[in-house]
Amino acid sequence: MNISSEEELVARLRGQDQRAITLLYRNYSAALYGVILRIVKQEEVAEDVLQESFVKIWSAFPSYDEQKGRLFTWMLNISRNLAIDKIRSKQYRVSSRTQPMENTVTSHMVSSDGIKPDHIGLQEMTDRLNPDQKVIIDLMYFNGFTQSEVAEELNIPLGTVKTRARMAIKFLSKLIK
Amino acid sequence: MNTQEYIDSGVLELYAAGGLTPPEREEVERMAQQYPEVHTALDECLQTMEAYALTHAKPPRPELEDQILRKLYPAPTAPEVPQAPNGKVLPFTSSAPSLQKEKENTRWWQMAAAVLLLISAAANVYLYSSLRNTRSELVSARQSTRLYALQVNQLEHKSLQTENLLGVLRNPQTLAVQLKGVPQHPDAQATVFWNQETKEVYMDPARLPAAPQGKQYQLWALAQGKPVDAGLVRATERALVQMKAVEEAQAFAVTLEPEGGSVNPTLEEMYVMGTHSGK
Repeated sequence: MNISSEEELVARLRGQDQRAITLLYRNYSAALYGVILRIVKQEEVAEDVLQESFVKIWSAFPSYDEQKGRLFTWMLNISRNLAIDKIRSKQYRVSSRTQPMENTVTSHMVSSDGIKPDHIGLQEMTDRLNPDQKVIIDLMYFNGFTQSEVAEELNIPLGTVKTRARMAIKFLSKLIK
Repeated sequence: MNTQEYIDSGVLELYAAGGLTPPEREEVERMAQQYPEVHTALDECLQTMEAYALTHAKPPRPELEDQILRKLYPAPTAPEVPQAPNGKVLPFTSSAPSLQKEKENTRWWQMAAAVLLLISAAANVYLYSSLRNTRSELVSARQSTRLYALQVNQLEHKSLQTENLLGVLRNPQTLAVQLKGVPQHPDAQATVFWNQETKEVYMDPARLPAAPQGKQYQLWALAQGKPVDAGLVRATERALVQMKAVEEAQAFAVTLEPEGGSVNPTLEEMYVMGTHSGK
């Protein structure tokens, strides 16, 4: 995502430019939807959360401060928080406990049409991440665990959570550069 | 304040992955505001997590776009109710035939207008549906571009690995050991490359049958008749895999083990085996 286009988009959104909302949707919907789906695991729910996310992004936009962070990160956080709230709500608790974290979305990607070939490559890329490190990032990013909850869940010291999170992101950033 | 220590602590990564409580987040934001080097390191973590998020990207159903955008646009102002058209005042003097003619004229125009309206409506439907198609194609194209960019990086990474592997294979110290299928699996085959100097071991599992769900191939080095674990082959790996370094071996064998591997080989599930003549 290139920054200058992000800046331009932000400026147009500030000016209540309606076409900018459309652009915002087209640029980011797949990224946000993918993350939401990874969290809530059901398409129908993911579509609802995507809609809630865009409504919130649009209504909260005046409070977005680019000095504090990039637009994409800000939008991802809004979507992740809404999705995580959803899985923490009552009706979700029971089913999500019994569901394995990984399989649902991976199998889903394979069955979906569209940009399938890319997913396989990228999946492989993140597969290279050490599983001990990946699980820490995923618990925080997709399950909304705090560092101490991760430590408790995996029964490892807090220091280890930090070190592994750092190693995981270091590794990913090398792949991405 | 030693900012390097702060950066190395892993707290920025926790922030980017979303593992901090609100007060902890505020603390990180304060630090980033105060120290430019913390800001830079934090931004890099955040960009990495953005890219990680993108690896999960999946376009939503195209129909969702209109549905969601309609919620975002401010409600359109109600169209003004058109004033009732003023009645046309016809002069009394107008003769009946001319009135008749005018009626016919009007009817003709009405029909023409109706036909045009139909054509235009049909064209609209057609154009609208092709616009929608183009839109959704554009969406996928955009997303693909981004994903391709990530993939290129991945390929670069892979090619670097391949170069390293070539180096291993070309090394005169590397010994190639052919592992042949046992009688139960005559078609299975694998090759182990063992560097006598560095003790590094690589294996080419390409001609082993795909491992069934829940199972993994495990390589064993046989030293003085004793099997020593030489590592597991992940189900997705089809190219050369780096295995554990092996100090001493007269032979290598591959068995199929439950996922995660075993301490001792399951001999009934042996697929291939091979000895080397040594150097």
